Amino acid sequence: MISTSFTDEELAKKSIENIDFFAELFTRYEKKLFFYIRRISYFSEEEAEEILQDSFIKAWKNLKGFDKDLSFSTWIYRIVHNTTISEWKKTQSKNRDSYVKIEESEYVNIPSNINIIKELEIKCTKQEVQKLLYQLSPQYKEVLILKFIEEKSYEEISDILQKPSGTIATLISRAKKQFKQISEKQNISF
Amino acid sequence: MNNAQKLLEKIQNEKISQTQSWVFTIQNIALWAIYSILILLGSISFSILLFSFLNTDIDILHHITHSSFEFFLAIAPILWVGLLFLFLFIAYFGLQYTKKGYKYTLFQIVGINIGISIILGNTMYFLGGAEKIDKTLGDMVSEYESMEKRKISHWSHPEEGILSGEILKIDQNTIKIRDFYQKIWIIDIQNTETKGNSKENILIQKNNKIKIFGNMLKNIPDNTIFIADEIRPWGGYKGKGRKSQ
Repeated sequence: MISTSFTDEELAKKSIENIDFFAELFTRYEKKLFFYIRRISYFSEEEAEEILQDSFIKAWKNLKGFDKDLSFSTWIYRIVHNTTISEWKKTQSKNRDSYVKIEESEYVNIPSNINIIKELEIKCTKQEVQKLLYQLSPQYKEVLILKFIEEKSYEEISDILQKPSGTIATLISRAKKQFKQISEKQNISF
Repeated sequence: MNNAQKLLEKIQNEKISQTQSWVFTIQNIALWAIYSILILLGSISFSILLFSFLNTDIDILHHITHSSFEFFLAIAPILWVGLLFLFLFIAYFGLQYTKKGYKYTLFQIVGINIGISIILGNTMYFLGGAEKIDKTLGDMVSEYESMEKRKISHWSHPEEGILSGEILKIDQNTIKIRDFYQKIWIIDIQNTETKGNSKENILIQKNNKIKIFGNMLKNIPDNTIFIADEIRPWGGYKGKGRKSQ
């Protein structure tokens, strides 16, 4: 039985010697990262599970190169993000239909007091937020999802997307603007 | 079977191994080594451009160039300008792929690269490195136009009043020189201003190389007489002039 009192970083270190600790890490992040993959892409449940597994296999392979200046959370988000985008680009080249129905259960992971709604002073439901997000350009969608749904800090987003903090701040600012413009065009309200 | 178990099973069944730590260390060292080499090459390019700029007699270029572009090319060899930009451009990507490189903006990285190239380039120039590299390339690669070759080219336009060569003989009011294309000239120095004379270095001496401003006498057989208004040392001293005795 793996102790749940270990931090993620401690588990990552122990995983090098004992793979069972790695399984514990997977269990901790499975749900969160599964929904993250679904949010930033249009993959189905099965495809998202496959990408999640591929990402953790990459993490396993590169565990000895885990940058200790980063938190494990940031590191694994980075791997999952890059794997998802890479796979998405491959499917796009095959002209695949981009629409994927989002299950109701996935909306529970959108914080009820979603800050973006407060910040932009618009009224909309969680489902509408999700739909609006999908209409944004990819680079804006990913920063808004990381900031307001995954609740990452600017520094963490900078480390995940491997872009300067200043660039992240600019992207979020532009993304909020575009989000508001789209919501106004669609007259989103309760 | 839950997903965690499926993951472990896949890792164990396919015997997926972990990359060793030393591989990451080598990758990191290699990236920094590549970056350092590119910055060094950029610095060499900068130092040679500086050497070219500081050793070109800009005042004569207006006589021999016919456009701003030609003027620019005469001062800054396009090869080294191109290489400087190329090395700094590639160095940008080299730095980006280091562990923390992504934290810097394009502006910061370009600034860092340019800053280091200027500092190292200046150091290289003042230690004589630029001149040595330029001369070595000129000797080894016939197609390479070294500073020396360019200087000869700039200072060999007698029809424009610009001449240069090695002093063969000195008479009272004339000197005989052989230019760099092996032609013999008689130079009238009765009213010539000389520059770069000092106690240690007398300009008008046999075997000295000199640069001459003046006028070629036309309608003379073989066009071999040149009236000198100003003579400078070939090495380009910027000393004060005095009329010849």
